[in-house]
Amino acid sequence: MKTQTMQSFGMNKELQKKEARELFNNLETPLLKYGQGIQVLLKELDLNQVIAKVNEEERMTIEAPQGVIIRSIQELNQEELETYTSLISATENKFLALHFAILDDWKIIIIPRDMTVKGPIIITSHISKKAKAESIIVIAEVNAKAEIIERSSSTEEAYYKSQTVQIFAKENAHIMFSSIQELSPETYNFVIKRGKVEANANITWLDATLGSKYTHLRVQTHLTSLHANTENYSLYFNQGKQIFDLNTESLHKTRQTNSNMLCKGVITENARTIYQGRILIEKDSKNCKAKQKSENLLIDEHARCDAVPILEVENDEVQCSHGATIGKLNEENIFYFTARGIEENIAKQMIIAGFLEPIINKFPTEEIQEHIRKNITERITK
Amino acid sequence: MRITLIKSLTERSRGNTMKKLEIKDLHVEVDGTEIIKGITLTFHPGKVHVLMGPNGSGKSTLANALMGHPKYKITKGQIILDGKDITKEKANIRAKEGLFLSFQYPTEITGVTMANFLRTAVNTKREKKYSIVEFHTLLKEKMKELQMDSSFSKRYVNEGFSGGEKKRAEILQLTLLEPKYAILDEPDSGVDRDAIEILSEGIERVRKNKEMAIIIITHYKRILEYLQPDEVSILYKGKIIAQGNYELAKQIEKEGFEGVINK
Repeated sequence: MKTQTMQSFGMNKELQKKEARELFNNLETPLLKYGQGIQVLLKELDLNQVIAKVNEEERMTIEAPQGVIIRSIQELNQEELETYTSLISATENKFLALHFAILDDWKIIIIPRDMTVKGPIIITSHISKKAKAESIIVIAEVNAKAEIIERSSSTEEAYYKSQTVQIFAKENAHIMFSSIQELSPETYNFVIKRGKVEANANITWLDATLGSKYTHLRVQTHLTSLHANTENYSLYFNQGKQIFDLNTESLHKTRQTNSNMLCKGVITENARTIYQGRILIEKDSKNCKAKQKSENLLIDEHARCDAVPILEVENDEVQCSHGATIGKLNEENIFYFTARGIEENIAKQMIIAGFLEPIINKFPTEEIQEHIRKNITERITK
Repeated sequence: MRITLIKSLTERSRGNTMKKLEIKDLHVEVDGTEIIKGITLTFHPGKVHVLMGPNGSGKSTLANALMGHPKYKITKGQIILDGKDITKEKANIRAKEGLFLSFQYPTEITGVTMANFLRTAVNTKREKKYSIVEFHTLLKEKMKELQMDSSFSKRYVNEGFSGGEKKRAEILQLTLLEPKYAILDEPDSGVDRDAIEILSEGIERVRKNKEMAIIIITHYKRILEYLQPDEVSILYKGKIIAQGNYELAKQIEKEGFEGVINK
């Protein structure tokens, strides 16, 4: 089934969509259940509504510095197609089947061999209505280096968005992929990002999850060759009834590979976050280093957070650390500010923004950093 | 006409004689336990008042309660600053009225730079706000006086500071905020000899220039040699058990608290 889906990609788009549609019809809606009584119920989400209301008009836009190659899916040959769509398949679950059933908007970004791209590649997506799917493929050839910034927004008319990102970092390639997600609080959001990292290469994922009604974010990195490295820095701020269901994974498939994941987030009002950070180190993957940490700040009484670290290590010769904390605003910190004359609400604002700052200042441009700070500060004041 | 006259007289008298920080029969509870059991004290502008007492006598509790820490509940008594009752005011209002506390154990705050924190604090009190550039100049000058490295302003508030650096940062805040009444809770603990001299000079400079009242909690005489206290009060089990001048502090330094407690 899997190969069949792959082969039909692009060659006959309608056929591929039809197959995904059939899969969608046959698959059960997955239970968003994560053990120990953690479950997300999306009672109002109607996936049939998504199929019925596909937005075929709007497209992602890309601004890329000179030298970067942008291709359409039709321009890939059969072999390339099979390779570069191999990380994610419509057969995995109903959400992905739905994604490929409605998908029209592909962007393929190729960073040629030995090229260091000057300045960021910027992908922008704005959805003003209905439901939409987007797929991004990044191919970083040997020794290529680039920073990609992906920004997404929507209006309250936008019901559903799904997105897949597949990054291939070949030998000694370095890719930073930053996402700033500011969808409307009326939009459901499903995101699957996967990366494959080869020898001496690196993928750095940065995620600012700020908007949407519900975000289902899965970031998974496959470390497949010697000295492959990945870093994952994510922040979130949720408010109102927003639900963030976040999952980051580092898969150490071979020896001497390194990973570092850090997630920091703030949950306010009636919002809810589930964060799962998973490290998998396979049996023969000796001498790996892996770190995972999540720090979550609960602001209001009804805010809720579940943070689950998952460590699956199948050999003893590794260095691993993992941990999760869920805390409240420190009264001593607030007093320290108020004792200097600063009003309590401004003190809280500064402390919350400060809590996220170690992630914010990893984003690639000053402008983006300021934008994230502003988003957060304005919402704290609200 | 007459009303105006009376009013202006009142204002004048307030200007001259009401400039003091008074605490009257203060009782303070922490987690339901009474720690401060009726303290009455007055602090005057330009004077140095030392609070001494064995560990657990209530010195830090008094300091925090005066500054308005929400954990320290004032169950009875009053705090009056220049004639204004601030007993029920929040910490930021007390700070605006001119009260300051240098913390014994300053807390660490991730992600907020010293420069940003200090500028926000200083601007809160000012009608005309400092711009980032203007404030940077002022901060650099004040840091130089305390022999602080310029990289200090870019670091997060107290994060990863050594004990001595934290105390220096507290005094930096004192010199920037120029309060009327400064409570210094062990500004000298964990600080080496040379640094004590630098800190004391910093405190003295701003005390003299601004007619500031200093209320200092300390266990060591070294800092007192620089600050020359005018008044000394001994706190024991939540009460003032003895008062005197600098000689009393010297006596305690020599003989310990036993002599005073057993009197």
